[in-house]
Amino acid sequence: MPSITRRRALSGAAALLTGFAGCSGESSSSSSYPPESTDNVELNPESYTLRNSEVAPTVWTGERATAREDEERVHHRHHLFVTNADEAGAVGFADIDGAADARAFLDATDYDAATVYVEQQQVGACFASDLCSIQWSEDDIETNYSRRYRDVDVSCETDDDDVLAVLVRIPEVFDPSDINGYGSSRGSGTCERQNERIRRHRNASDDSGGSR
Amino acid sequence: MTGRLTRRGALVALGALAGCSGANPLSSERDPTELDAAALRALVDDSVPSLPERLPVEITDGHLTASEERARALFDAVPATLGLDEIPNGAIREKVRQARERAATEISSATAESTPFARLKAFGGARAEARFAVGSWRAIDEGLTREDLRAEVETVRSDRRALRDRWRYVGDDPVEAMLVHTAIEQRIASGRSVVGVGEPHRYRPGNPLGVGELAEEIERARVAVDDAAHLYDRLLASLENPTDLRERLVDARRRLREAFEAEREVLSSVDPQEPWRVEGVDVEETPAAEALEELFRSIDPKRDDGWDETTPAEALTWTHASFVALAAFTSLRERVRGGETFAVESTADVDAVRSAAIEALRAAEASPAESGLLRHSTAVLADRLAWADEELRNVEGSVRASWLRNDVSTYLTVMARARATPPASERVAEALRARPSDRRE
Repeated sequence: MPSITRRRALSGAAALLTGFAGCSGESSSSSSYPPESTDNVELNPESYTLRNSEVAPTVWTGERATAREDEERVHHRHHLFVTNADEAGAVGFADIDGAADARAFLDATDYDAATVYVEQQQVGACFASDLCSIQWSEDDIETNYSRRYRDVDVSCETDDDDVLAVLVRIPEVFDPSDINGYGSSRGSGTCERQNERIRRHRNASDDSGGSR
Repeated sequence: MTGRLTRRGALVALGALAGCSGANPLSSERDPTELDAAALRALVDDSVPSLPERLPVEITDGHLTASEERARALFDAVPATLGLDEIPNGAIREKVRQARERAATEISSATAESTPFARLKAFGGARAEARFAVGSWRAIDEGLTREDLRAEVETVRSDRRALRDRWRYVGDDPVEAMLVHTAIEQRIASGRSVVGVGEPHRYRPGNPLGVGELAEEIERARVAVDDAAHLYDRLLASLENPTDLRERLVDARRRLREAFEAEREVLSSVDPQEPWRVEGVDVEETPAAEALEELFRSIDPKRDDGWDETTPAEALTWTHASFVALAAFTSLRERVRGGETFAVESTADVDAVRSAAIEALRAAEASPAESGLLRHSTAVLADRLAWADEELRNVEGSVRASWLRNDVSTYLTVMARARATPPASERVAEALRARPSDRRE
C-alpha cells in the first residue's frame, strides 16, 4: 500500500476541488515521484485525451457541471470513475471535437476487466500533457504526465488555458468509492524517461525483497 | 541584471505557490520589523566601484570587432516582429522573441563594458542567445534540422581538438600565466564546450526550439574555442622565452592546498550543519548567521577535489578563493563572538553594512597586492554587490526586515572577503613565484 503522503492531507474530493482550483497552468500537485509504492502501476495505460479550448467542464456524469455565477473559475480538476456500461451511458461530454471518439472509448471498454478513470485538468493552450502512468490503491489514485510543447503550427497564446480531459483505462475492476486521495504530477522529460525511473524503482524493490 | 530571476522574484513565486496549499512559509514571524521601501531604494547610489574582469594579455580590437559583428549579424537574422503569422504557437514564439531580446540587451551591455575581456565575454553571451533565436527561427521558416548542423558541429570539435593538442601551460610570470590559463581551461578543458548532434536536452525531437538549442550550443563552443585560441596566441606572442609552467602550477597548488587544509583544521569543531553557532551569542536567523553559513559552505573540502591534474590553473584560483573565504569566515565569526549580529532594525543598519562593504572593496582594489589576482576576486565581489543593490532598488511598499537578510548577508560576505583578498593574493602569488629551494608553505 502506498504510505501516507502530503496528498493524503488533501484527501476528499471536495477538499481537492477547492484546494487545487487556484493552481492552474503548468504547476503540478504535491505528490512524490516516482510513486512511493510500485503496487498497481500501469505504464503507458490505454487512454483517450479530449481537449477543450474553453476552460469549462468537459466530461461529467449526471447533470452537467457549471461554474457558479459568482465564481469566474470553474473546477479544472474533476475526477470521475466509470465502472460499468450503465455508468458509461450517463457520462456527458462537452460539444467539442473528439467527443464522439471519447464516447467510443468508453463504449469499447470491457468493464468486466477494466475501470475507466477520468481526470480533467487545466493546461496552457500551447502545451500538451501525455499520460505516462497511473497508480492506484483502494483509497488513492495518482497519474503522471509528460509536458511538451504542442506543434509550432498550432495557433495559441501563452496566456490562454485549455482543459484536458483524460480517460484512462485501468486494467482492473475495483470499487472506487473508497478513493479519497487524488494526485497528479507532471514532468518535462519524455514518458519513456519518466517510466524508466518507475521501472528502476520497481526492480530495486523486487531485488531487495520489496514491501509488497 | 535585467531578465534574470531575482532571489526576491523566486521568493514571491514561492509565496504564490504556497498560497495553493494555504500555508505561507514566509509569514511565520511574530511582530516583524517593517522598513520603508522608498528609504531603502534611496540608499542605493552609484558608489559601488566598477571592477570589470580583466586578463593580463592583450585582446586585439580585430578579435573583439569580429565577435561583435557576428553577434549583430545573428541578431539581425531574426525578424524584429514575430507574430501569429510567423510562429503560430505562442509559447514557441515567446521563447524565440525572448532570446532575441536578451541578445539585444547583452550586445548593448557588451559595448558598455570597460575592459576588453569583459567585452569579449559579453559578446560571447549575446552570440549564444542570438544563435538560439536564429536556429529556432530557421527551423520554423526554412525547415532547418539538427542534422543540418552536423558539419558545423564537426568543425568546431575538430578546431577544439587542434587547439587542445597545441596548448601548453606556457608563461613568463606564473601568476599572470595562471590567470590566462584559467580562462583557457574554462573554455576548452576536458568536458568543457563539448557539443554533439544527438537528441535535444530541453525539447522533444521535432520541436524547432531543439534546433535552436543545438545552434546555441555550437555558438557557445565556437566562442569558447575562438576566444581560447586568441588568448593563447596573444600570450605566446607576448613571451620571449615561453616556458612550460604546468609543473610549477601543479606544485604550488599541492602545497597551498596542504597549507589550507592544515589551517582549516582549526575549524574542525564547527558544526557543518550550523556553522553560524557561536557560544553565548543568539545569532540564529540574522544576516551574520546567513553570511557565516555561505562562507563555510565555500570552504567545504568536498567541493574542492579531482581537478589538480585536469585544470591546475583553475584549481589554483579555487585555492585562492578558499583562503579568502577561510579568513573571511574566521574574522566574521570573531565579530559575532564579540556580539555583533548585524540584525536589521532600521534602514541605517542596511546602509552601514552596505557602506562597509563598498569601503572594503575600494580598499582592496587600492592595495598594492597582486593586481591581477586581486581583480580576479574583486570583480566577482563587485558583481555580488551590484546584485544586492539591484534587489534593494526594486523593493516596494513596506519591506519586512527579514526579507533583507539575504541582501545584508551578501554585503557582509563581500566586506569580509574584500578584506581577506589582498593577503590571500600575496600568499598565492608567493607560492607560485617561490624558487624551488624556498618552496615551503
